[in-house]
Amino acid sequence: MTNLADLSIHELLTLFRNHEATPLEALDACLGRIARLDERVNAVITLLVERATEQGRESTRRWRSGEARALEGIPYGLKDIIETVGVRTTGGSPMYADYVPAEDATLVKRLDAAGAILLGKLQTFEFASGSNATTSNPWDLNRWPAGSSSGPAAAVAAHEMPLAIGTDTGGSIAIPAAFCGIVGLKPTYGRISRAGLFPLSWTLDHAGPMTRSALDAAHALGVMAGHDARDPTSGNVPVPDYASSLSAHLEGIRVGVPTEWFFDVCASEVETATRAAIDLLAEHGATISEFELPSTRTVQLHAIELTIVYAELASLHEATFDRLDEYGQEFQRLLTRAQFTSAVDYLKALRARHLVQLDFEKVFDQNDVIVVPGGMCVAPTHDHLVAKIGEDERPLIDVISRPTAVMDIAGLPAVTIPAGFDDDGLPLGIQIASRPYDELSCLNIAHAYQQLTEFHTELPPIVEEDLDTNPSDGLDELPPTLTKPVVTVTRDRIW
Amino acid sequence: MTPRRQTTPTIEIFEALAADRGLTISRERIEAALEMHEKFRHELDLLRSVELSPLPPYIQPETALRWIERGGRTS
Repeated sequence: MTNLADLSIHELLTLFRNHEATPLEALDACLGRIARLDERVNAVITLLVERATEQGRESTRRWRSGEARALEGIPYGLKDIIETVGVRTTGGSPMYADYVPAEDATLVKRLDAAGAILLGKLQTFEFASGSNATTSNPWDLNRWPAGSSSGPAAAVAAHEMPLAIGTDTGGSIAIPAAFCGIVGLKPTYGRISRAGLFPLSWTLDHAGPMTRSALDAAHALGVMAGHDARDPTSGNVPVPDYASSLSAHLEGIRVGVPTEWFFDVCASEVETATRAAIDLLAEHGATISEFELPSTRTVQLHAIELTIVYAELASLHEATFDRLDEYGQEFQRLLTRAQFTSAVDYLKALRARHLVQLDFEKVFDQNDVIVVPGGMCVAPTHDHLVAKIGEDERPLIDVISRPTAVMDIAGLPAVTIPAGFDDDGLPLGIQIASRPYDELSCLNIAHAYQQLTEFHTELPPIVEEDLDTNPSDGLDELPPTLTKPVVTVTRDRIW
Repeated sequence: MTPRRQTTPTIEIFEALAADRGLTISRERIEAALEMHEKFRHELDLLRSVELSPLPPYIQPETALRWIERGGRTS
């Protein structure tokens, strides 16, 4: 028997359209999976059983009456820094443990208007940057899912829901997607409105969908993208119908491969998986050429990232700095350090990032997309948060965002997809990036790759074990609303 | 590019900077902030050593945003 929780957005929409399943049935399957697995995964911080069921009934009615919308009846979750009217939004912080917003974030309004069903709010690091290691990686519960979109990545990987929305400032969609073996799309800066999101760094913050296929990411992006008067940085650029425009065509597609930066600090298994993916694209008609990023030799991307985040973080939390004790321990350290950022350094970082963009302009004059590593290592264990590169162990914060923050700094769209497993069965991810506002090219290549491979259809062990269970088992144990406390305990230090 | 020779700030410098802004920060926290700063200092010095022209058309913070809006094209 097919468990509807294991199906993609695209498959569910097809079943709903053909009246072979209903949104209520899909919802029950997802809630059943959450009831059985989330105690171990801990992806969910607030579960909206009653509210979602009510919406499930309405979606079921709409499919029957021919009034279905783009994502009618698709269950989804939100990283808990995305505001939801009437539903607690904690920011992962004890400081906002009881905060209930008066308005939905714009992206929530758009998902709601498209008929998607909000199933719950998902775990995050405090304000998307402090440490929170209470969520586990579904591929190995002793391992870290990365973050700060830890809950969204773990929820989608554990097949608790087919769609979750994360945010990315230096790799917070891309790295958890890579570590948890799912798809994460960090769109162009300004492609998806950030109105109603707790900010970390307004220059670098992005929101994007996390799914199990590139096609599903296309479905979600099409609904969420577009200009928003509430977000002055959102771009006024037409939104294509991504899902119906997707093509698996690779003949003549120009793929760029970096000769520097991305592979300089990278575990060999990740590099091997990335180069194997590039070879596969070439076998099916893509042309491959190498490119350089000269600016990375001088401008220090990590310094740009940290300087911008420090300065904007300090500014954003200026009014509450005198309540430092109320933040979690890691965020206290981060916010204190942030106080000592000079205006000159901040402006240098903001200006220098254009040098990186100019490099990419040349790259995309010669290439349609680039293919690079998603994470630079596999998921570390909770109690030993280090990046393992061969025999070398590096502090995570020094290197983890190396392949990803550059996408935020330049504002490029990048989709992370699974591209293999290491010897321990841990997922390896790659990123496909393109010019600003050309998400379609990234998604096309990701979709084409997923037509040729099955990495994205592999199941984590806990989902495998759950397959023989009745999809609705555990449902009776769920209360109308489940609200967990905010826990910012960390088992190992990141910052 | 070789970074200019820099001295690393001291706890006293950080304390003075905090005091100038009217911030009360414990010695323990200042020490932790300094430790984080020291780890990052080499990269920061390299960033500081990047020369950006003061003459038109000089790069402003907004230049990066305009570039993104133009789909990754200078013109």
